[in-house]
Amino acid sequence: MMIRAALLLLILFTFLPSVFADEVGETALDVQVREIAKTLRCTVCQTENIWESGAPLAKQMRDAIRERLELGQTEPEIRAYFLSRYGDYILMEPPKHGVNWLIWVAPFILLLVGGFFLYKEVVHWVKDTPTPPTQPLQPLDDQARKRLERELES
Amino acid sequence: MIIEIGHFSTIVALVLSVFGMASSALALRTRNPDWARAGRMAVTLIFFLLSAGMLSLVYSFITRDFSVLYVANNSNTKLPFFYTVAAVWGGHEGSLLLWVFILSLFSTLAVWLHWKTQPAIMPYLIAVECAVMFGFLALIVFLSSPYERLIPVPADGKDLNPLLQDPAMVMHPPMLYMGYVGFSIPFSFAMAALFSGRLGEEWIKVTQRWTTFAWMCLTTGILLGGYWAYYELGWGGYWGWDPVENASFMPWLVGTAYLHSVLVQEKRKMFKVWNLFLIIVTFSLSLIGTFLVRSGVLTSVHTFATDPERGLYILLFVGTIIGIAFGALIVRSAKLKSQIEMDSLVSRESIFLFNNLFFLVAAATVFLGTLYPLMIETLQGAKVTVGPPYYNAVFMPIALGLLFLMGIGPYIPWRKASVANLKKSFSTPLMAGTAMVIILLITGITSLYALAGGYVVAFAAMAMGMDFGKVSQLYAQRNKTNIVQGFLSAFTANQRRYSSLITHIGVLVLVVGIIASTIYQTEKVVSLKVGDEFTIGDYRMKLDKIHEVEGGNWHAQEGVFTVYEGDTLITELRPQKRIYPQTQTPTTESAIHAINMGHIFLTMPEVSEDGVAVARGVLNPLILWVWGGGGIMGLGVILNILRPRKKDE
Repeated sequence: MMIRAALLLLILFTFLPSVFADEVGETALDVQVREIAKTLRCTVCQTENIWESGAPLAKQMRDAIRERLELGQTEPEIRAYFLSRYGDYILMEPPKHGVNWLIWVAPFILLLVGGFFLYKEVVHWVKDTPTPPTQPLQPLDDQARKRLERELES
Repeated sequence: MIIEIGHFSTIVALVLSVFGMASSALALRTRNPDWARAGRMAVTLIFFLLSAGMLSLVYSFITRDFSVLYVANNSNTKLPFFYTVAAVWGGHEGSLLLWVFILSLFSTLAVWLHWKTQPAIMPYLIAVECAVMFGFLALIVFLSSPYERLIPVPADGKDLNPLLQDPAMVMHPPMLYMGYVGFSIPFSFAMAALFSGRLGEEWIKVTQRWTTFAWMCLTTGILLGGYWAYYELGWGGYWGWDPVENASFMPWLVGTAYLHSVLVQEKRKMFKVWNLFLIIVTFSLSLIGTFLVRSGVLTSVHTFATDPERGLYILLFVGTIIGIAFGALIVRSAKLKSQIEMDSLVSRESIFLFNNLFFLVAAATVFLGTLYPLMIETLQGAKVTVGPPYYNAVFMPIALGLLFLMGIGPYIPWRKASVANLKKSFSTPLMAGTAMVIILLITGITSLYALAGGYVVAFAAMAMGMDFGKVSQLYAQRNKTNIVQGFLSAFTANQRRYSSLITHIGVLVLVVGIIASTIYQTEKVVSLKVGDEFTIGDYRMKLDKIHEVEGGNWHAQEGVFTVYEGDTLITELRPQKRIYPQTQTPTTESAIHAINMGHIFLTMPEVSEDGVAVARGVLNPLILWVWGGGGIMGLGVILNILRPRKKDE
């Protein structure tokens, strides 16, 4: 009796997974790997990060991130490791130091300087433009109104 | 034999392009119209000769004649028929031929269409078109010929890059090139205006539809490229700020600035130099875009150095065109000084200027970002990456500024807007924007970009909605019809304005799609066996089986997933991991299901030997708005081009 029940239980547990589908999910580690991988460049691709890239090298690098996380390294440590190995190239954006500041601020400087001069220029033009003398408008007679509507239609 | 006919035709076309320039010069010198007619004939003949060139290449691909080097490099016996035709522009040499072929087609059309109305500038136009064609044809004939033979003849060819074996990729390059080349027509007219000294508004009016058409093709080409990247590259995004994408985006940005700026000259006869400048920059960027992509210089400066002849030639050619164009502009600029009348800072003209500023800064940003790695590599020998995080941070604020200008521009009158005008037009839209932000906050959306985007979109949409509503009502009252008929008669009465506003609506829809699908994308990557399932958002995906599938020139492992929402079965998705044996290239084919204006996007990038698959699920909310917005933009542009001609056009 006991044996039979145990067997039954055993069978039940063996087949359970195929009856009720296993729910698989992402672990916290998976999410961490993704967050880091998204900030690093696949060095053999055209501006693709190693998360989105399908290249074998990108997979190796993802695995390397995972291993290092499992060893207990933190995100900054891992990023520093890749940075020391590959240089600035490995980052998805130019790091904000030295000459790179140029590319970060240039668009806004262009916009501000361009906007300033454009503003000055327009104000200057406005000043140079004589204001047309304003005359009180006469109400349109019927004929003029009809003509106006015709013109607007065409 | 056939390919030699193509080769020979192309050489004759090259000679004729020189003849076209010479006969135009003679036409101007002798004032004998026969020389101009000879130039027209040369342009027309170039078109027919290049058609023969294209056809000979298509023929060699269809008959799989691997004795032609280009065919052997870009196709093989197993490549499906459909893609053998597309393979014609699958490589460097063929795409250059396609470029100049489209140019010859457009030039021929322009010369014949405008011959009667623009006789005085025709020789100039022919000369400019022939000069550009000469540049391309010399490159093709001397340095980059698709007609070369391969001896000994291989039994089979290599393969067209599997990523390019896709319907969107068949259409994407021709569309893009039609956009690039389309801008050559207003460019040539502009150059003709500069050389001939006929610097009025005429060239702008004549080329308005050409410009709109070019813009439509370029926009469609870019969107098709995004669509292709979306389901072919398998990461769930459609725009990666890749240098190749950027190369097509730059002429689009400046071309869009030009498209708007010419309106000021048409209406107010101002900013002549500025418009000439813009079209020259647009076409220069089209040329630069073509060559940046085709010279390989973007991947690394080293590819450029391995093929120095071609690179040097391209630099010289583009440099010459740009140099001559700007030179002519500078020489003529004194004559172009127009009296600027500006009544107010708050006027349509002024808004257009700021619109131009934003578009140019946007283009400069993309230009800088694309070429910065090259600059650093050349100057410092170091390598850096300028990727999406940079553009997201820098480009997005500029884009939001542009959207805001798009919301106010069409409702600020020419010359001067009074305070009463502004109140009437914008108080309700401002409230709509605020209301939208409140609604978004209540639904739990706190991303700054989403809120700012929501504000601007609601503002612009309300301004436009009020315009459409008011004018429809007006026409309905006057014609004593209902509001729908009122709308239609308002639309036909001023089709140019309202078709443009439809394009603007398309932009708003597109922007909503971009914001939602970028900021609120969710993804999950799991490893699973047959029978396992995973949940993403509200959806549960169960892997039922993995089986082998055979295609003509590929084989794949296909995962069959059933997708449930709660307990209801929604659909079945079949992502594939494909191998193209010829080149041993793997690709991931995504499976997509549209739901609630968004997409469930599934790929299966890996299957291990013991049957464990890696599945990647992505939810892209509102992504259909991206493609739908593109469609609405296209509709607006088509209605604009097809509008009935007015007397002064």
